[in-house]
Amino acid sequence: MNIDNVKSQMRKGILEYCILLILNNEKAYASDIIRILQEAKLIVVEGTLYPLLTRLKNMEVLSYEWIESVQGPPRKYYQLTAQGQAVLTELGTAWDEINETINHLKKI
Amino acid sequence: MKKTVTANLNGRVFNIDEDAFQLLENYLKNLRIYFRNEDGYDEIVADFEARIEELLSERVRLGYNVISIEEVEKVIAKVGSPVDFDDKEENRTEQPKAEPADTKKKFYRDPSNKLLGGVCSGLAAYFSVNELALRILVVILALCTSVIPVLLLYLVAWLIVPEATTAEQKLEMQGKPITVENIGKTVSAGMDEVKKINEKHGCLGSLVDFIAACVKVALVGLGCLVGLPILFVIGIIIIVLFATIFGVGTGILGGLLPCTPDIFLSVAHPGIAILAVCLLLGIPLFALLYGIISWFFKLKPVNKSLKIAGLIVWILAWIALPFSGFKADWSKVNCSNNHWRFGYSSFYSNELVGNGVLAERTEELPNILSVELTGNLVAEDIQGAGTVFTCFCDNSPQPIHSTAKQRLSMLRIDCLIGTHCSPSNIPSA
Repeated sequence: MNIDNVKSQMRKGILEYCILLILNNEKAYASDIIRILQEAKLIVVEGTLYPLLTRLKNMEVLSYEWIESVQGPPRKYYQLTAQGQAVLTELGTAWDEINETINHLKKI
Repeated sequence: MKKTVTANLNGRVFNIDEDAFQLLENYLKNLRIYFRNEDGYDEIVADFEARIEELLSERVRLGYNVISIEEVEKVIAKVGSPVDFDDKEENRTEQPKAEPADTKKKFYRDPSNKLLGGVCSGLAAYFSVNELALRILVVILALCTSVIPVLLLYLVAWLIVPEATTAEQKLEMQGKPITVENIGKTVSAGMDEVKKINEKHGCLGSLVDFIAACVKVALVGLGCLVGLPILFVIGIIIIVLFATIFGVGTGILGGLLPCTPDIFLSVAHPGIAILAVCLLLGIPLFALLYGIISWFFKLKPVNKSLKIAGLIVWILAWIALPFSGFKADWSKVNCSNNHWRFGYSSFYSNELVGNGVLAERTEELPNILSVELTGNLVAEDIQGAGTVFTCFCDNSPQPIHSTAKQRLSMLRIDCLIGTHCSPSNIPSA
């Protein structure tokens, strides 16, 4: 069994949930999301995120708007849609369940 | 010192080193291939481009005006290459099933392992054999065939066979299926390659590039050198053909050809013959010219179906030609005065002696000895191609031997005393 692989699979599993959490309170643009995820060591390379964001947008979990930037061209700011909110809640429940299970198992 | 180019990334202009540009372009190209099956593929690639622009802008803001290859490498390492995006796990299992048709092999030149033009390395990849072994084999083959044929083949392959530049082409070259995983691998290998080439440029690489460029230029020069005389000859043949068919006479050729302008072509169906010859000569000529021109001006390569159509028409023309009754009688082309230099034995001699052939003197003028070989003699039939005719001459210090190389029905020799005579070839009625 490859420990690293298992760990990365775990992180990958919660990546979508984390993105939704980051976008829960405020809209953010891709680089902000990347920074937060990298600080949390959830992703290694940035490229992982772009296809994921596009996929979430296509699923209508996220939407984005172009906002002018002082430094350069306009940036894409992502935010949760109503459907995204619902998904977030659902994922939150799922996470709590998993957490509970793990905690329970740890105590055995 | 390095050459830089300007690149437009996400609407912003950057000055970027040429090698760095190459690397970046390759990277984006490969990303496009990697994500080509995704929904919103344009958007994903645009996101990547925007991010790269952002990272590079940051660099420019810090005062680095020119983007170097190290910068681009750093950016790519940060953003990651497809092999790192293993979030596509779910796609992977179905991918090989979806694209089994893509495993066909194609012959490309391999730029990553090239010594000269990458022909051998491409061939080695095509046949999945060791390239060193193949190179040695080619060299041995070249030495065995007195170098020229193999060299020509190599050069032609160099010009014609495309180079494998994208990840897709590289996979095709090796006959690997074009799957996302494979492309990812190739892309990350490609990064090292650009680096390697970049390092190589410092010493040996530039020399090799220079030699390669010289060889290509020389090749085009050679093409012109060989091509122009061929064009000339083709032109003459067409004129002769027309002249023969329309009975204009071939007198106009007297000035053009170093030959006796005898009619040497016979045609039963002139229309077919003209068409066939024009196609036979025209198609390869057009292909050659187009090849040379497109090499200089970067024209679009000719459509594949057009190529095949051209080839079929060309083969048909070959088939049609014999049916037109077109026949060139080369023995009637007296192209060289050298073959028939005759001295002669004596003014008083009535005989022309040569390997048992006896010719009688039939006519005598005050200072001209005219000898006719009678009896419908065919020189080749007597002693083979090596038959030697010798005319002895008192006035000539040494006899001049002549080898019968042409098939003759009759030979008449008109000679002025004291000079070398030039025989004229009289076609038999």
